Parts: sequence; structure tokens; C-alpha cells
Amino acid sequence: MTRTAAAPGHAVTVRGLTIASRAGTLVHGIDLDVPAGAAVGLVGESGSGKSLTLRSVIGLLPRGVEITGGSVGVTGRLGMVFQDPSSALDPLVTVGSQVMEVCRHVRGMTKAAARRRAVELFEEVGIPDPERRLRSYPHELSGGQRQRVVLAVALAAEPDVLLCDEPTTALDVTVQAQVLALIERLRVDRGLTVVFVSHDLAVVSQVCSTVSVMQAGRVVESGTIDQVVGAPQHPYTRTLLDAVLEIPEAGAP
Amino acid sequence: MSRPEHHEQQGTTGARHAQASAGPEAPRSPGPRPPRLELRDLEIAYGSTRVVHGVSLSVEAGSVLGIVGESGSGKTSVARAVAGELAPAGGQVLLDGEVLAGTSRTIAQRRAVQVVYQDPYASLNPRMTVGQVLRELLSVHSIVPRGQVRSRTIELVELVRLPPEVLDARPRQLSGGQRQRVAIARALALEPQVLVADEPTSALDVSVQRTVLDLLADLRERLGLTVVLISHDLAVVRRLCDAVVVMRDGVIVEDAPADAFFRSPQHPYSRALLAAAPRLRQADRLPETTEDLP
Repeated sequence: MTRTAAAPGHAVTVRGLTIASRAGTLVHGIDLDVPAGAAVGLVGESGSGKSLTLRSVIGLLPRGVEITGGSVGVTGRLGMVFQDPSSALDPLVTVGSQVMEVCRHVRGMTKAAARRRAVELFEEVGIPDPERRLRSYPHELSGGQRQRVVLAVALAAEPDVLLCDEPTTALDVTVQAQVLALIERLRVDRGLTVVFVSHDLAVVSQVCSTVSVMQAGRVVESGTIDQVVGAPQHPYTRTLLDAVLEIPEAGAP
Repeated sequence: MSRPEHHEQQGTTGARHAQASAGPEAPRSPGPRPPRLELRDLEIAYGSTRVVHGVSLSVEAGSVLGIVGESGSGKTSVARAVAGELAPAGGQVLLDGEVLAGTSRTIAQRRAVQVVYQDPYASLNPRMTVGQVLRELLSVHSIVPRGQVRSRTIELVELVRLPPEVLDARPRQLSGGQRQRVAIARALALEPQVLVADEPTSALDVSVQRTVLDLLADLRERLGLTVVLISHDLAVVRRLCDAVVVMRDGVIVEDAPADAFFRSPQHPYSRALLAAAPRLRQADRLPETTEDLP
């Protein structure tokens, strides 16, 4: 496979991407266009290939799984946020050191500059009392705080594109709402491009303006959230929409 | 199905059943029938850390109670105390008015409360076929005469809408949704009065989630089963429950009929939970800022 720049005006361009393991083909020649500055969702159930597609963009496919066809074009620096913040962080290293490490080795900062930057990043992702929190270990933080740290680590590399793999699935619902609002704020403030993978169409609709629906390794439908939610074309999209259990706004009739 | 009707009778004659399971010399409380399940001032502690503080609630026979809350709310600890998996530090769990011991329950009491967990894979023996699991349970507890064990296993998998071929399969050969159905069938094999379902659909894909919820609703209808559903997901609770209890930091902050709860939640935390639930959003509506919750 060839890794190239994305199409003009785009952060990520995927063409005819095929991913396979010894067991067979997992992703069947999909296309994906992510315009620079946009928030694009990939939604599907387990085994749909949504996470593999995302991981192929950053080159983090699991062992034994590889790209066997097509191309992935990327323009800009990538950062990634994973589902489980506790496994994304080193349990034996303070969260401050984990952010500073990226500042020093990716951005080439001095130790003192990296420390100042880490405080700024913690402030940016809404971690209270950042000076003190730099010295905390991951287990001393709540799940939501840990995911904020993971975002700070990703932002320390000053990415242009943020790849999010179910970043709120492991979080409580009130915390999920806060992290979604944070990702939205970072996207606007930093002009980030966001690719957001989730099994939850409702969550994707909160963050993204366009969405591709994946089923069994294929994109079965893509369009704006309005089109896909308002007038789904593919039967599988309708199944997913029917399965969303809606609760009315409190106080609504 | 001959067995499930047995439950329906229990659902309408709970008092008679209470006498049966408590033994002939158990005192009968006069007056109205006690709730199927009742918690009185339940206290739960892990070591010196108290995680549940004076929780009281009751569940009528044949109804579904949803206990919602976030991590650390104590909802799963309550479920474990109801199931007899941990001994409360204080207070009581009552089934049909009869106090259940913390963990040293009689076999009949243990059978009466069954649990279905979030991850059916972890709760099924990987080396045994579904048929072996069910046959063993039915035989050990002498639930049906020896000659009827095989036909009863077929009834059980049909009850959870699985084909009889599943009996020859091992857990890893089944999908997540099928495994959860098997876990439900296994719980029902013991003909419980109360089914505790701890996040039964949280590990499942959304489309499968719905079919398992429909199954639970159907079983409640057909068997008159009393269900305690533990969930972080208000949409799941709304679909299944008659009453809702909201827990936070080990206490109940709201206990209301489901209709009233979803129409006008009273406690600020309940309102925050409802506001935070992700909803399908058309692109023309901007997300509300939810950074500052109470």
C-alpha cells in the first residue's frame, strides 16, 4: 500500500482500502474523505471494520492484520485517543511526565518548557489544579480526568487531525457529555480535524457533521448527519436508527 | 410450556408462595401481601469503606424496577447483596416478607433470586455445552424428574428464542447476544421469583441490545417474573421498567414510577443524568454545553 498526502483541502483521503488477516478480508475497498477542519464519524457495530479503518490511518493495526490494497492519504500530524484511558496511560509514570515526554521528544522542548506546556495543556482540557495534578499517577484520577489527560498527551504533539476511537464509551454518561463538549471545543479552538469512531449513532451525531455507516467491512451509507439521521437510505442504517433507544427531553410532552 | 405457568400463579398468589418457600412453621404476616422484594435500610461496606448508606426500596411481584446510577453509585453492590453474593453490613433483604440471610441462604432462597451479568462470556463455563450446563442445573436441583430433563432444556432455549441446536454449542461458538440469552435461560432454569439483571445489554451491539430487552419484557409478561434491572443507560430503563430508583454515592436520590420520572424528574442529579443522555441530533441544532454539571 502507498501512503501519500491527502487530496487538496483534505486531512485524510482513503481510497479502495482493503484490510485482511489470515482469517480473511476484514475491510473491503472502502473510500473515506475527511475535509480539513471537519468532524467525520464512522459508525457501526462490532466487526464492522470501523476501528480497523481508523487504525490504518495512523498505522496501528493489530498484529497479523494488514492493509492489502488501496491507499491512505494523510496531510498533517496525527493524534489518537483510545476507548480506555487507563490502558492508554502508563500506570507507573505520573500523568505530568507522560505529557512532558511528548513535549520534549516530539516537540523538542527543554524540561522547563515542557513542564510549562504541560500545565497549559492540562488547563486547556479542563483539569483543575494542573500544577498539582501533574504529579498524580493515572490510578489517582477518575475515568473522565484520565481521558482528559489522554487528550492532553495527544494535543502535546500539536496534531492537526485527532483520531478518536470510542473515546467516551468507557465513561459515565454525565462525564461522556463533558468529554464530547471538550472535543467539540478543541476542534473549534484549534481548528482540528476530527475522525470519530463509535458504535453509537447518537454520540456521533453530537460531534460530527458527516458520517459513514459501516457494516461487515463496507461503507453502506454516508452523508451529512441530517441526511443519514433524517432520511436513511440503507436498510442497515435504518436498523441502527431503530435500535437507538430515545428518551425525550425532560419535561417534553 | 408447563413450567412458566407456575410462575404466573406465583405472580398472583404471592402470599401463598411466601408460605411455601418459608416452610410451614414460618409466621404469616396478616394484612396486605408483602412486596416480592424489599430492602430495609441496607448498608454495604467493603472493609471499613461504607459504599451503600441506608437504602430502602420495594418491588411488587411481576414488576420491573430499574436502578440507575453512574460508577461508584453503589448500584451493583445493591444487586450483589440482593443476590446473596455479599453480606450487608446492616439492614435487611426480604423476599415475600421473609428475611434472607446475607450470604448463608438456603438452597431454596438461593434459587429464588437469580442474576444475569453484563458479560455472559465470563459467566459461562467455556468447556461445557449449553445443554450440559442446563442439564446439570436441572439435575442437581431436581427441578424436573430425570426423564424430563432433556425436554425441559429444549423448552428453556425456546423460551429465550434460541434454536435447539444451541444446546450442542459451547459459549465461544455463540454470538454475544446468543450468550446473553443462554445466561438468561440458565437463570430461568432455577425458576426464580426475582431476576437481577446487572447491565445485561451493556456489552452488546445496539441492534442486539434491543432484542435482549424485548426478550426480558416478554419473559416478564409471560412468566410474571419480577426483575431488578441495574443499568447506567436511561434509555434501557425507560424501555423496560415500571419504577426507577436513582442512586448516587451510595444513597437513593429519587424513587419514582417510570412515567413520572421521565416526565418530571425531581432531583437535580436525575435531571442532570437525563440531560446528559446522548440523543440523535440533526446538524442544525448545536450541542448544549454540559461542562458544568451539578
